[in-house]
Amino acid sequence: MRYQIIPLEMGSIVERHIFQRNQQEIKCGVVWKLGTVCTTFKPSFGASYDPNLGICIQDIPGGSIGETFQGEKVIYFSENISEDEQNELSDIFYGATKKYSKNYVDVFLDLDWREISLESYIFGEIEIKEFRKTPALSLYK
Amino acid sequence: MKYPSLKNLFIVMLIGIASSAMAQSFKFIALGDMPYNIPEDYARYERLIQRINKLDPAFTIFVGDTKSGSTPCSDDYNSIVQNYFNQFKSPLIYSPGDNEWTDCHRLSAGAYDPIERLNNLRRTFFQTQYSLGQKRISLTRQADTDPRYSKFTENSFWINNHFLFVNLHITGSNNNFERDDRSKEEYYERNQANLSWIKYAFQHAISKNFEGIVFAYQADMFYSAKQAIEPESGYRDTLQLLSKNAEEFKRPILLIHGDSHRLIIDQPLRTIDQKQILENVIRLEVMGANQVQAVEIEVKPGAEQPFSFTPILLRENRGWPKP
Repeated sequence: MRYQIIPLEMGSIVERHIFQRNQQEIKCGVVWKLGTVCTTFKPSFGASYDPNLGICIQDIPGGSIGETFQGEKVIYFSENISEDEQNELSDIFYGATKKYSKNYVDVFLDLDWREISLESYIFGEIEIKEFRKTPALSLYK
Repeated sequence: MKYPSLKNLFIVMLIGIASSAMAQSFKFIALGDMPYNIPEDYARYERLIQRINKLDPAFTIFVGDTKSGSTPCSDDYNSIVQNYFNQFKSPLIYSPGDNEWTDCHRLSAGAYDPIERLNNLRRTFFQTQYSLGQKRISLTRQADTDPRYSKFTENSFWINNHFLFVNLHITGSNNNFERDDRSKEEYYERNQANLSWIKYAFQHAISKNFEGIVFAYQADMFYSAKQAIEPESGYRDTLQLLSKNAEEFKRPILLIHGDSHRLIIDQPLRTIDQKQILENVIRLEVMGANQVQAVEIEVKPGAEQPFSFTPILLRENRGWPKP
């Protein structure tokens, strides 16, 4: 059996990456306009689910982000990071310059930022659908 | 009973001595991308150097990034690096990385002129014909073999038990092939020197009948498969030349680099058309950054596959799980 957890509002699935260096912090990730969370275990969090808080997808047994559409990359900085450095880190994150030919995680680590967490969340009103079979199309992905 | 003549006995002994020399294995160390988190990592780095000294390797290769990208590229910091290199009892051979010059324009690195920092590195670390470390070995530098490349003192080679070791100056950040025209000009010039040095190495290894070649440099040229084929890649020429020559050479080749901070041993080099894996080429990427550890490589001349690897994972240096 396969289950799909579908948010009923747009922008309700997010991936959040946190990096820290000394007393500074970067929060960055992707907000998906549309998407689903898949699992092969029957979701049992329904009774305690608070739409305002949502749930960490890693806390849903077998849960992973399924199909997603229109991801928007976002990055936030703690106030003690200078504007110039924020611009540089933003360029790295958005891949705005060829100078940083690696993905942002590797470049941040090279700049001595420490990866604190990488988590995905689903929040807002949700609907859980149950499938007896894996949809045939997914075999070709 | 017929006794061998003195002459025959002498020949047999000579062959015996020669073959035992051929078969003599040796070990060396590779490390890079450290210390990043300073001053905390100084103690971890010192512990690692002490362990390496205890292992008494034939030599040690440091494959670039003597600091994180956000540590200032100052003369004072280069002095600290020099002091650390001189704590290695065995010879130390160093390939420059992007954090010590190409990326020094970054604000967090001190907003230096990268070309000025490169010239400073050459003056600081590559002034003599000898390696670094307390015990020094003589290196053949590209600058001394080809007047066209007299600037490139950092490219060198040395020989150990029928294996050729080649130091190349190939850095991360797309090998400096970006940002502005001045960077690109530097890249074009150094790229030509590197290509020439690689060709020379293969010719030398063939003419001297060496058993294999070890290339050491900083950049992770295998970070993305596109780097071997795209025109804007600062690694395409190098990878294609390595592919062509490795295929013809047929003997064992080891590529050692850092840059991406993960311990990897694999076979990523392909034929120029990217269709076949070149099985005679092994790549070792050393760990680094948060992992202040190293890798010991044993070379067994005469063996079908002469390279074997032992990670040096000091428990006291572990980042996670904590010791």
